[in-house]
Amino acid sequence: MIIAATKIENMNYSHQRAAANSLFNKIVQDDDNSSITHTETGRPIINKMNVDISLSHKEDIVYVGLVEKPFRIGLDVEWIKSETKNKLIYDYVISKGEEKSIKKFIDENNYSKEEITRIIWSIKEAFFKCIDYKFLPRKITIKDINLNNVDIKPDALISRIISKQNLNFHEIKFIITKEYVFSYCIMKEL
Amino acid sequence: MKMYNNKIKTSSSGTYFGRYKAKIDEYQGIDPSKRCIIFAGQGGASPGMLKEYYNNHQIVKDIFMLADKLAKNKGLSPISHFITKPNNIPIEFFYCYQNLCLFTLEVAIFNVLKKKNYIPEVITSHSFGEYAGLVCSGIISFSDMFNFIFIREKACQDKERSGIMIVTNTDEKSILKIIKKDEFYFANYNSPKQTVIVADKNKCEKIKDNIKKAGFKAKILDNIPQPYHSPFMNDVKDKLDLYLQKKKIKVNTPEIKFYSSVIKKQLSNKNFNKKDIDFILRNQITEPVDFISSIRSIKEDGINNFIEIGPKPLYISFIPDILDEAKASFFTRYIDAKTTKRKDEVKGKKSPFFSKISEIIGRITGYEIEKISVEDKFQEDLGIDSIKKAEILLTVLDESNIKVDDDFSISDFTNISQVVDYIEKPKDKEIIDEEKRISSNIQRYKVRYIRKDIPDLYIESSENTNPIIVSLSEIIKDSEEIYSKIRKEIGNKRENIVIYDDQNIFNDEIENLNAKNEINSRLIPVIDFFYSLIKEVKEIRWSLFFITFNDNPFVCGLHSFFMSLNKELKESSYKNIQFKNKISIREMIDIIAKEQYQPIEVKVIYEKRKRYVERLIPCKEDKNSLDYNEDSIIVAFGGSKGITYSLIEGINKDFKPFIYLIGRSKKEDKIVSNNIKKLRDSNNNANVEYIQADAMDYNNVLKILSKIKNRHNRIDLLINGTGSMLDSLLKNKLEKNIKFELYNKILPSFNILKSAMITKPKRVINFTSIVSRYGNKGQTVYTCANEIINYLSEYFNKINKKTSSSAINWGPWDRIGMTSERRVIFNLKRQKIPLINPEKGLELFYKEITGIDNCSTYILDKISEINYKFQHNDIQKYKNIIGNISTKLGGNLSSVEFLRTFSLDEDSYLKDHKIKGLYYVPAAMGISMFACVARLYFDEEFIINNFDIKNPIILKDKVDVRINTMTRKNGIHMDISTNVKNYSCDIERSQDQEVIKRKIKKFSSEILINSLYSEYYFKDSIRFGPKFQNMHSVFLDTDNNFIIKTNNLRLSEYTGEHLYDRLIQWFDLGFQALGYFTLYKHRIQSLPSSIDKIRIFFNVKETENVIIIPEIKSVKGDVMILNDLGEVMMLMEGVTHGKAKTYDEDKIIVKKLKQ
Repeated sequence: MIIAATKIENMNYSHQRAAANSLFNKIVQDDDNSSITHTETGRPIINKMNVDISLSHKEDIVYVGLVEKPFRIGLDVEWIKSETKNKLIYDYVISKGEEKSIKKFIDENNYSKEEITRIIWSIKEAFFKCIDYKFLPRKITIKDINLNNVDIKPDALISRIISKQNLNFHEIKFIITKEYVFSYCIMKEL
Repeated sequence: MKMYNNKIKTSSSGTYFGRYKAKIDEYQGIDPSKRCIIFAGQGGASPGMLKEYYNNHQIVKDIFMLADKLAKNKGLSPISHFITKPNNIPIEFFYCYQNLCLFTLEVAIFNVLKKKNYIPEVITSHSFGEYAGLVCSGIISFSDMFNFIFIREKACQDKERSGIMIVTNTDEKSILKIIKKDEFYFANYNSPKQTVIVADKNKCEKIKDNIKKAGFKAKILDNIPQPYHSPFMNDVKDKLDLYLQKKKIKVNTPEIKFYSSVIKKQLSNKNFNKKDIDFILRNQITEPVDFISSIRSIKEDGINNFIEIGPKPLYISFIPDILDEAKASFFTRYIDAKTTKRKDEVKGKKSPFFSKISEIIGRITGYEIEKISVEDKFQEDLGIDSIKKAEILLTVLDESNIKVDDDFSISDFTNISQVVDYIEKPKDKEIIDEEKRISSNIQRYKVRYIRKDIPDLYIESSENTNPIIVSLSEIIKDSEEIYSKIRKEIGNKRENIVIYDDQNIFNDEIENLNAKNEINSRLIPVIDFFYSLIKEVKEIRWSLFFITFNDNPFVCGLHSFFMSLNKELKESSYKNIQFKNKISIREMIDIIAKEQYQPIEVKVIYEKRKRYVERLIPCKEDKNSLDYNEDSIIVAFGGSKGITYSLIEGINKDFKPFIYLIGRSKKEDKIVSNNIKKLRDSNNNANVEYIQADAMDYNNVLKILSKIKNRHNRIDLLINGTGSMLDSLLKNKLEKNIKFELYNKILPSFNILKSAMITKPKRVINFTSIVSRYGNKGQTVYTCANEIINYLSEYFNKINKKTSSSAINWGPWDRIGMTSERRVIFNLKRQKIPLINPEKGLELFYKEITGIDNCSTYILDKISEINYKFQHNDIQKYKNIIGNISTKLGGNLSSVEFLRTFSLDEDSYLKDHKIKGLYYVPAAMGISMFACVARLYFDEEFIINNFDIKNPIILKDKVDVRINTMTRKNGIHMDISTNVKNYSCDIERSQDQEVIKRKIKKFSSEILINSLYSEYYFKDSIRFGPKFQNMHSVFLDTDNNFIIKTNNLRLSEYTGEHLYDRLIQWFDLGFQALGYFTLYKHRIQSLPSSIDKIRIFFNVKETENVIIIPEIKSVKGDVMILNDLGEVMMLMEGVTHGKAKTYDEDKIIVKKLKQ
């Protein structure tokens, strides 16, 4: 498994995409047998290589992850220092069933509501990218969260999607730096 | 970036962060703008395929329209039914419909892509896709190909063939090593890793086993209807040969290059040969498909960007195995299911939602609004990341009052037009079906008052209420002093404020009053008083009582104003008490004290100390038909636009009468002139005249009506459709708009009614709005003005014997009048408020004209009435039972959620409901919660049906419980859930229930109560503690049945709400009664799991005791709860009680009673 983040200053959206694509092309072009296709959600698939990839970019960060098959990876980077205070996002991302575990996490680590919204967003986004499904944050519940571990319970729909793809949950982690939260989710195809 | 090459070392696992420099070089690869479109075979086809594309793209619909027409000529049902109504497809012709539909769909999608300038360099196909390929490359026409496919499919289904297809995960060479060449045929060379062969059905199992033995996978494709691409299909080929001999299909040189997998050759205008096409048509069904060589050949021509068109992405998955480097995508990447048509529309119409969305984008991101286009993509064009996008979307939806549910995904929105589309068009099929259903139930209702006392059960221990009492005249005369007094009290806690009509404010001699003066010097000062208050005090908490003594129109208007205002406040309640007789202040305060315990009925009347409440009852309908004809004289104020015009259109069509429309707009106004022209043209009616006049001037109105009267000597129908609305919360309203709304509705109506006294039309109908009866958020002034018209109409009706006048309170029309704004219609649809269409409106209007009830009528359906009413109610009062509303009212009224937390600290009685360290919320609490919510919706009696205990509510110290309500066809469905569903039920309205009396049989013996509670309930068992041990005496009657007696005075207070504390304990007693009865009879302790029907008789008096009588009928039981007088207070019918525990010993002690 390789997960890397790189910082390139003064990037706009097209720079971010170009940098990410450049990184992918680099990986792919060095292997004569490989090619890239995309799933319906836009998830990249490197064919002919025994790896699964995921990428995310935010501001001046490009974040890329590779795992060997049969593992699957989804990752996401979010800027946690946003000044936006919008309760609507908190309500959209955080389901009622997880408020308690998240409150405990906030209390333990002294994060603001805005920061926690972005942390949870990042974790959930990584999860949905891994299972290659549209982002439905309230369909999964964080039963427990601390800096070393996240315990996630998907609802019936998401459980079905996971089992349909023969995926088995492997691990979900996140790292918080001064400005960003980096999350990744790894599953294993059975 | 060099660090990550293809040689990935797993030993280097870990997480790395750091700073790197990136260099981006000029791109030197293959030109991706050259595309190849692949038309899919029938592998992915299924009923309902790509329905969204069918529904949302006019091009797709247009091509299907042609296909449906061609199908009709062949005696087939519409081909589009395979997508829209697959259940209508005759099963015996399933594949014929499927393949014709697939062909049509592929051609249609290609045309959508073409319109968006995604024109490919070359077209190819897989198997059946050959036909769409031939059409889209311009070689054969759609109709010719459609007819050809029909012949092909007909020939296919004529006969059963012995071949079957087998798919393997290996290539040609390997298969030839495993199976003898004469035992099978190659059908599809899909990729080096997938080959499909055809073999005889009798040999297929053996072949499959052999392939598997060789280490490959093999699967028999028994879902493929024919052994395509093999000689097994020769009979079909023969029939196609015959058809092609008879029917000469016109063949053109290709407009786009076409690579045929049948002849393995690319056809262009340079090498085109008609014989090739003839060969393809004759042999496609028997020749193998060589997809590998097709794709490789196309790549050799420098194209490596492949786009598949088909029902789902299948064939592009072969490409990575065929080519080393290629881009393969499904067509949905290039066209959205929902946008193209809508985008153009939106762009043209400058949708108000687009302005709103751009404004919000500007607000959140700082973009210049002018630079935002409806087609902009959030990420690519605007550089908006996912969280910002979510923020924008959620704000847009929130400000449009649209609830975001768990299925809402921001991933569904890539560009702004999709958001506009989502807001504009509630496309949920359920909503549309529901709309249709409820609109058919819209009827005319009128108000009647029925006797209804407040049962003692509702009254809690009497509180010393000391309300602030203010009269209307004080508000007008001494407004500053009164204002400070009220202002001081209402901010902090909930106060009872009593405003009473001292009857010397509004003039009761209506016909002689100066309406403008009445509005300016009386009505507006009162409204202004509350306007200032609401602007100044942020969180008003009050229980407002408006005490009135008669039906003066302006006083009634204020009542409607207060109802609307109450809906704009969060923690307030409002009630209008009307006294028909004189009453002392002391009596009034006593009644107010009582009424505050019955906050469900928003208006009550006391006459001779008897209490009456409002009920809507259906209007009687006159069986006589309308006697209008070409000589009838119809005059309509405000009739050149909106609802009135829509009705006039109908009347014109049906009777072609003389029509006079009077409005403020100039004759030259575009809408007016068009509408008048339409009226004249539609039924060739020359007798349509438009008069421009301002009906706020009495002289104008009288002059016009007199002139018409003089000309025809009569007026048959006078419609008053005047008025305008400026929708806004009272606190945000501009003062000038308050006056504008009042003037525009009241003055013209007053002038019309007053003039009608002189001109005496046969029938006067005033148009008002249903919201005047219920109040509405954002419409304080509008509802006030409308209610004034309702009562003005009744007043004039009483004094003008020669004219029959009434007011019709319209519910919202479908996109006509006040609902012509899409924003309004959208919200109404989301709330499942039924909309009146022009046909229904005209039908109801005719009934109004011939109706014999000369009073205000209300146009609505009974189910939506519960939504209108629900908003009145004082939900705060019941927060100890059901918690607070956690959803936003005004969003979707048909679905409301309450959130209540149970905790051992607050609800200590739960400590007595404990097993093995966990505490259980009694099911009786669940029923009571349902009953409490039901009473907020219904002011009449109701029945709780299908109460089901799915999971008990368990807590350690605290648990959050949600009550979800959903209005349905016959009432409301509710459920209670924690992290699982706990209880559910359906609630329906019932007629007022008559009191049922039951004779109690003689007691023969008594069961010692301790032998029940002590012996069978021990520590850590439900009902161990005293709080639930409420069976005070248990008797056996002469038939050995249980009769339980409980003293109400000894029951506990759980929530502080008397009625619900009683209900909880009585329901629980009912469950205990059944449980102990089975214990006594069968030594089985049982617990309830469901109840078929629960009825609560709220009007039965509570006495000192309750008598509980359980009856067991096979697996179900009934429980009856009576008062001391033998009157039924509650009934639980069909209680299913499951076995909780069986006891070996009978420890129940029965003591014979002395007779």
